[in-house]
Amino acid sequence: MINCEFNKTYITGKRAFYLNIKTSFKHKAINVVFGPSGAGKTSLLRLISGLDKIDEGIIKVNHTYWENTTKKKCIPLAKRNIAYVFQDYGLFPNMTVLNNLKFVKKKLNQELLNDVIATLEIKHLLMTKPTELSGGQKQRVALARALVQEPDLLLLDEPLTAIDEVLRHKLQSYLVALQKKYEFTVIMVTHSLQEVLKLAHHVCVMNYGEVIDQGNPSILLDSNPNNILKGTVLDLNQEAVTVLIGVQQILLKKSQIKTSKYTIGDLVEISLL
Amino acid sequence: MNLEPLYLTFKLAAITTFLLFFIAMPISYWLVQTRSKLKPIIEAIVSMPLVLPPTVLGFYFLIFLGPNNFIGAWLQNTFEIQLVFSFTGLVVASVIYSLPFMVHPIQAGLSALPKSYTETAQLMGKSRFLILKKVLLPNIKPAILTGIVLTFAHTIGEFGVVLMIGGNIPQKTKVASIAIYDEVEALNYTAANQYSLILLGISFAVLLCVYLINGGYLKRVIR
Repeated sequence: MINCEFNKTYITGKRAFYLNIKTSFKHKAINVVFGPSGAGKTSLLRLISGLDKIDEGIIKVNHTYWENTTKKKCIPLAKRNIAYVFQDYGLFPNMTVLNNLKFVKKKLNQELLNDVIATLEIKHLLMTKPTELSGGQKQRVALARALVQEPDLLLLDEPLTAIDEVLRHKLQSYLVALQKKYEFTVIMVTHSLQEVLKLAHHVCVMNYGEVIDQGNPSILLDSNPNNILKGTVLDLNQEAVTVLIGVQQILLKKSQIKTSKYTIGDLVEISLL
Repeated sequence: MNLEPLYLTFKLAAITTFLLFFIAMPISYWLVQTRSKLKPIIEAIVSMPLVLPPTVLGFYFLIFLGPNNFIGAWLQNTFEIQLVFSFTGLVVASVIYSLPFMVHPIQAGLSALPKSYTETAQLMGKSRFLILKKVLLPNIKPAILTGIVLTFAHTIGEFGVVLMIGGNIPQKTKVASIAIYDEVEALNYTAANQYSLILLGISFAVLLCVYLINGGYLKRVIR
């Protein structure tokens, strides 16, 4: 469990942005921070990683204080074993993809390295430099580099935004599969509801620098009009339908299913209204 | 034409550039990374040789490093180093006088790199030295080249500081720019022209190389 209770004020020019966080994230699960642009999602990741310092409060990870301003305790960021995939990926342009991966650690887990290369389908890119890669390829390489670090905590800052839908779904599936296999903790920032419902075990909804809601991703279903999602029917009775959306099983009213005829196993469209 | 002043000039420029590369690197890195309130003061000190008359710098060198001053006397008595009117003194003065020509391009190059390079490497647990050596410097090669060439070219063209601190001692401190001045004073325009043409040609060739390399023209021609 990662507990965060802290304040931070960012001052840029004449403007101040206040972050007042009180939330927790699940251990060995995919946690998604969801909210509109400017809500403070990226700042939250930077503060958890230690790249930015909190003004006041605590960050506690599995009974260990990473930061505690009262006790003036702060674990150096290099000792937190965090891998962070930035929005611009942060791939080193002077190194080939393989050297980007090798730079992570002196002794890489060869089995993990081979598995990640195979799963993310980057074998043919190993001798290429990041400047020659497409957006989707860069994302796969950045994710691979983060994973070979064998992090306790993987921070992903909107890693799937700049790519087409087909590739996005593929990468989402990779992420779910790898997280399930290696059981690391993920905190991922997104403003895509679809991504939350497909990936999240736990969601944390942010706006105006505060966490306004958190829990099971189904909490979002009541508050997002005009969104249509796709899911697979798992079970149905006269009144309700159980639908699998991403990794979540959600019980819905029949009126929320937009598809006219369906049975168990069918792909259906769901209205969130 | 006596080639000694030209030899001294290029020896001075090469040593100054070599030393400044290692001195400017940590200064530039610190200026880019720091949030210290001292940053503007350090930046102003580094940039002072750009606006300060060389004679002012030379004058204070003469005062502080002369044998009558505490620092100059201490260096002389402890290490037997005489900085005034010596080639070593010229190197020290040149390093200070050319400092902004190496620091500014490297600082600009480092500033232009995304913060995520450093931050990713920091989270991997890499040391500052390793981040600088393996990640940052290889990605600012054009800026480093610009710094090296500007420093080299600027040192070749030094006159005021060299004259003040080094005097005009043949085979010791008489560099090409001073030799030109001497020859003009002696109305020997032919010799002055020879020195000048060599400096002009080398300066142009060096700067042309920088623009060709940094502009990517050479790569295109090779392809």
